[in-house]
Amino acid sequence: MAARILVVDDDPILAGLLQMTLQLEGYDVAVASDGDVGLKLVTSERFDLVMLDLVMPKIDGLKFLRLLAESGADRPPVMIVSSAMEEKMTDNLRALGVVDIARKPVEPAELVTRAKRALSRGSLTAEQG
Amino acid sequence: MTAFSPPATLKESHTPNSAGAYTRMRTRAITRELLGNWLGPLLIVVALAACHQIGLFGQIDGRFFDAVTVNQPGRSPSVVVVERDEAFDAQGPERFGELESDLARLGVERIGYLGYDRGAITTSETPIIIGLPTQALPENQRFELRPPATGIGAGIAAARSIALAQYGINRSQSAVLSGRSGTIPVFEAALADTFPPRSDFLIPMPQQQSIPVLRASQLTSGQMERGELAGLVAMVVRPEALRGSLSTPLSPDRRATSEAIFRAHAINSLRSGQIHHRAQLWESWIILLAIGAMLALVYRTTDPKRLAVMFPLACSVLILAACWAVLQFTGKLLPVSAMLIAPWIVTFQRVLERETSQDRRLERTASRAVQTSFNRSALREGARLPHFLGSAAQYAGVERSLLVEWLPNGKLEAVAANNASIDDIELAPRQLRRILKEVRDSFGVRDAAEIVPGWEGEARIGWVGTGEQQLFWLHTRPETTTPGKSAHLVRALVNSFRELFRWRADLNARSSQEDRHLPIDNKVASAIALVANESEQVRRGFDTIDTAVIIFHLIGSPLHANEAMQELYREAGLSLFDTSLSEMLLALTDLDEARVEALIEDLMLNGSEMRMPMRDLGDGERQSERMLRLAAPVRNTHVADRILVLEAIDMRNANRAADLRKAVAKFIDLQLRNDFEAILLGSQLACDDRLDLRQVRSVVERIDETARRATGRLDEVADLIRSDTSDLTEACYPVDATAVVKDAVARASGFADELGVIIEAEHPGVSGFTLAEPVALTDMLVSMLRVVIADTPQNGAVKLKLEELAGRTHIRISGGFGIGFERLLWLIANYEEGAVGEYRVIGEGMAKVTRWSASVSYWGSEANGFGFNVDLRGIG
Repeated sequence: MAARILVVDDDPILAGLLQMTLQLEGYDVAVASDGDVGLKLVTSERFDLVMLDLVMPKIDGLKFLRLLAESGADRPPVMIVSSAMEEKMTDNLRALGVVDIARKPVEPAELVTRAKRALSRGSLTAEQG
Repeated sequence: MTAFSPPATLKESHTPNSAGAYTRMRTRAITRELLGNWLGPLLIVVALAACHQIGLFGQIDGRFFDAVTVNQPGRSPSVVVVERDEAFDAQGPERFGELESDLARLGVERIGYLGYDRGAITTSETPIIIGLPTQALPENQRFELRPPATGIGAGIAAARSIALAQYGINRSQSAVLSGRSGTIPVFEAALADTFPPRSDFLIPMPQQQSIPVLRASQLTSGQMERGELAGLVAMVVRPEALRGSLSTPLSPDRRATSEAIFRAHAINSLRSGQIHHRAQLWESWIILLAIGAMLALVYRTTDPKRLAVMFPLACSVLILAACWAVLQFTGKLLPVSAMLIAPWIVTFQRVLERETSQDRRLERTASRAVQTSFNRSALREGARLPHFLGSAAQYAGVERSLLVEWLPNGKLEAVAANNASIDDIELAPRQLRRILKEVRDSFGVRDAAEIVPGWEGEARIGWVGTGEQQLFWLHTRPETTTPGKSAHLVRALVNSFRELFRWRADLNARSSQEDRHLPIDNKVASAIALVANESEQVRRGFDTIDTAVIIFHLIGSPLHANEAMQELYREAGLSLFDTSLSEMLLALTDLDEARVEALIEDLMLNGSEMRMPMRDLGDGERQSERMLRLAAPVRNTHVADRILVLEAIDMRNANRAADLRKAVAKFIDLQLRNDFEAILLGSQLACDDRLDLRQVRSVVERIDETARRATGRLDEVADLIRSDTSDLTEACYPVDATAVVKDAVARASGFADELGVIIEAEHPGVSGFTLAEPVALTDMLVSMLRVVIADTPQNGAVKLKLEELAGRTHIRISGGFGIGFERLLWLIANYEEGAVGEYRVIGEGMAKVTRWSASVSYWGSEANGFGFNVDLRGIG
């Protein structure tokens, strides 16, 4: 069964292209246009990986992570794909359970590789759990 | 013994060139000294001495002699005048012998006959002098006696002559005359038996001097005792010699002094040894040259204008006293007139020269001042002045304007016209001349409807000319919405133009002393007025500059500070007049004394400029936002005129521009990264064989859309990047709304802490971009927070929530007890009419936000608190 990935990004073009790229690699990809929708999806459905943008209306990436942590739901690994990355945020993100941080723009091939790696770390974590 | 050897530096300094230069300098200095201080006075006394020599002052000198001698006390007479009365002459030829015997018996030492009619003298115990008439010989200044002295026997022949009167007054006599073969004694000298070393002598004629006159018959009748006339000489004269025939000091206005009395005074003078002479020419020259030198010496070190009256007056008194004393005690008449005149003329000459020199110096000074002011002002192009008036009048709302010149030939000529023509003047020449004279003489403005009847509106005519150019300005009254202000402006224009024109006329006067038409005073006054006026205008302009500027003299004393700098001095607690440059730098910067001194020294030596951050003066918001720039312009500047300029540059605009560009750069960076990611993914997908044509087309469309979106974003901020700093002051740009909110909370937290109020702020962890001008937005948010905080009870909370939605950013501030909405509405809406503090800032902010595509709403009610909503445009 194909791994399920949730792309949370308020840019519909980029989210759509990410979805197509990952689907071509055989993943089952869902898209949420903002943090609010993404949070509802991730708490109601099972995902193996969340690709999360940080800057979003309503609920930004950081708030999304905090609310996800507070929800008590089964937390999939989260991979940050954002242009608004700063060095000082890294530790904070790691503490919120982020497994990988990619600063846009990322080569599509690399993005897929990093997604695979994040998925494998997520499955490893799940097996260990 | 060691020979003296000059130090090396001294040796070097005396090279041939420097020695030559020194000699030239010395020669120039001596020449200047001689010409400037000595030549004038000496030339004057030489001229006076020459005048004295040719006898120009003889009359005054003689009057002085008369004044001194006429009032002298009389002495015992040494001569007796014997009148040959009728009774005597009726006696026989022996009468002369009897008279001589009787005179000898009475003790007379010498007997003189004024005239020869007694026959040859055979023998006599007493020397007998016969005064014979003289005849001038063809040879210059030589005489002979007529009849010849050979017929008088044993008598002594003498010349019965009187020296020429000076200006009609006889006061001198000669002791001898030049004869053909030697000298001929003059009667008085022969009778007195005294021949002074210099032939010509002055005769003092004291009024109180008694001259005894006896009749000859009285003497021969034996009425007098033996020896009664001992020690005297007798002058026997005919009665006509006792009749007034001469003007002398005793009777200067009429011929009332007799020849006998005149000669008797001369004999008295000779016999008493009180012989008076005029000073010799060489003596007069020396005295006058000495006076000239003394005056030159005095005026070399003192201002002749200060001594102009008192010094020559004192000199005159001293000279009079000295001349009196010399005449009195040595019998020498000095050139008193020339001596008296010299101090006055020399003083006048020195004053005149000093005035001329001062005029030249003033003119040079004025010229320099004028060079700086006049040449860079409108005055330089005098011909354009009337056009300036026309243009300025137009701005003041003057519909028609005609500047005319009244030419010397009586005609009028248009100098500058605006919507008017010389043909508009329809008044008859005679009436026109009358009106023009009235206006010119009264320097006033009057109605001109009769001059230009064709003009609509109220026409006026005013005098704007000078003494050299008669200019009149015909114009209509300004028609603006503020006629009062416009009329005032027109009056100011007329006054200003008139002054400028007068200054220009004065300053354009030819500078040569000989050629100029105007006195230097006018020119200097105009130059001073022009410079003072321009200085005032420059000062006012200087004061309007926002940047605080102060100019220091090279020595560090302040020359001028504009108002902004004066305010800075007040903030820093410094005194503008007492604080030197170094003290000011120590107070306004964090530099220590050594560094300040080094900095100033370097600037003074090398010029250029230096910048240093200004110390915070206590107002936190201004901290580190001002930069001091100290500059010493050296180019084309004489060292003595060098200045130091200190500016306190407000860096807020520059900092704001830097913030803006930083924000824009961040915006571009983040947005383009997003777009590049989409393009990278799209291009990869488009190349993927697994996609069918429809899918590829969809991907390409998305790439296209992304590229357009990126271009649009770049276009959106392109103007901000290209704009000048000055245009960015109130520009809105993509800002981090979270950062703005955090800044506002930080600035309001002090006030909240004071009142024990908590600010509960809610905002995104990572913020997008919101279009706003951050300074105005922050100020407005701070004021909103302060309004609510001030209305919140202790331990209460004020809420601030920042929420970013798709395309919009909301900031909501709420809390407090609240006031009625009507009241709140009035306070914010009427901020221009007097609302102060926070409401004013909120009102001003609300006026600005519309430019950012934003809006502000608010509400309030008592017991329900306040609410402020700021709705901004989000752009990514």
